Amino acid sequence: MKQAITTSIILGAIYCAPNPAQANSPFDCEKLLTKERTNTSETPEATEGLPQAATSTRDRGAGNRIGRLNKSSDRVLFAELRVAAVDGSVSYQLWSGGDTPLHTTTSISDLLEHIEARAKALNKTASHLDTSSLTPAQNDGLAAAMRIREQRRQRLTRIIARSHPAIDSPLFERGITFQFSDIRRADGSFKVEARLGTKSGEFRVTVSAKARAVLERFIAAVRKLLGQPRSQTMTFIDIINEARDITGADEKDLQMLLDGQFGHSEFVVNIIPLSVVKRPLG
Amino acid sequence: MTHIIRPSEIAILFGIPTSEEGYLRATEENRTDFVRGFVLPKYKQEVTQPFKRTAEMMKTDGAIITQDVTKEYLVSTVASGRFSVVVFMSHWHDQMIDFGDGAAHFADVAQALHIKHTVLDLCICGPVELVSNFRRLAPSSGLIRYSRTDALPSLWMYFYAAVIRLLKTNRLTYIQAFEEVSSRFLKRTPTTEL
Repeated sequence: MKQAITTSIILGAIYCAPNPAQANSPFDCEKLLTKERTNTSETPEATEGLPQAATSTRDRGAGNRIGRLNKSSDRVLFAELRVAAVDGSVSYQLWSGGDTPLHTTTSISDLLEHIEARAKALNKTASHLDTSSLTPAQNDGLAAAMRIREQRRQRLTRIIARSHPAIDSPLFERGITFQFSDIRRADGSFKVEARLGTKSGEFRVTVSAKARAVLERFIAAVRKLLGQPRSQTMTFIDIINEARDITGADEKDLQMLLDGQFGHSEFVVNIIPLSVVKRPLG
Repeated sequence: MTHIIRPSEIAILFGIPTSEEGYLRATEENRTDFVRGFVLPKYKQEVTQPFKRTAEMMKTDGAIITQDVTKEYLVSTVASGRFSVVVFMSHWHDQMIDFGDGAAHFADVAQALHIKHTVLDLCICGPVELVSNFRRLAPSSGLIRYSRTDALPSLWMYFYAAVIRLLKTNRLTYIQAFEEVSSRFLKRTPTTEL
């Protein structure tokens, strides 16, 4: 019997280039970047110099942002990664709105190369933007936004570089795991840590809590389909997260429970009664 | 205790039943205290299922897992010097410690134990009095780890599985790994640069 599992991850604009074709809103992408930037502490200086209109989008919801991004595939690297597993083989699709995927592949290395190539193409578009009509403040804002994008490009490139030794096997066979942080930012995004062995890199995705749960179930199902025991690819953080999950407690109760269990331990040396060493944790 | 620990240097010994059969046997024999607080479905949820899940991980990583240990087995394992860390998960109540073959008085256990250059990690509910008696009755050069609260078996099984997985992938001392996993459970700033 064929077993098919499909899920998708909604990805935010990891790369986003200004679209010169939109003459009335040359900062459309910068608005989005500003929105993300206000929720991170990476480059606070980058908010300076942006047009007032840019900051007015801060209160819009994350769903709105994703919807906007979906409408313009030429400005967005990708908005959605769909992953399907059929009888143990995995395929990946990059979507950015529309009826057809931007790219479909069964190879993770091909997927990553496509992402990289598309990112480079978008960067090239951005570098050819005519900035002659911009005010100095707008220019500063644009430069700041470009810096942020470059930081993101470098970050993803690092992740790709770390997980790129000619991988043709699916993500999970390589032991790459994704760790979602529990802290959801105001813009709806989560920080995600990709790990391969002891190496790791970080990026951010926008994913709803429901989608996140689906994703986690999907990953577990794929591992099962691939005949790979889940425990072999779990990091110690995965194990901790599973322990947190099995309690079934809400966050507040869980934290109290964990504080009680792991908040204090003592290591006692008793070679000489007077030389007691207490080593409280935390 | 200050050297890099590999999972194969760790023995996890269970004095409480970790299987359904063990639970039923202990309930029938009525010689130990821990199982008295549970009906079987609850015991499965809190002990046997987490054990099954985590024991597989710990064995895969190279740790030695032993169920239904007796007092003699605990004593000989600690004395053997084969393991740098011996984790003993059990229950103590009214001066008696639960073992696979019944309960034993803590003084008998303490006097029999010779903890030399070993970490004895006592995962036992609130064993403060037990530890102080261990120190009085069995002074040694070993290190004892304990906490002051009632230990939930399910969470601690996962805890040790995480410690062992961490030690498998990183060069850490036992205390470093212990603190790292504690910090991560509590979502504090990690103590170790991994």
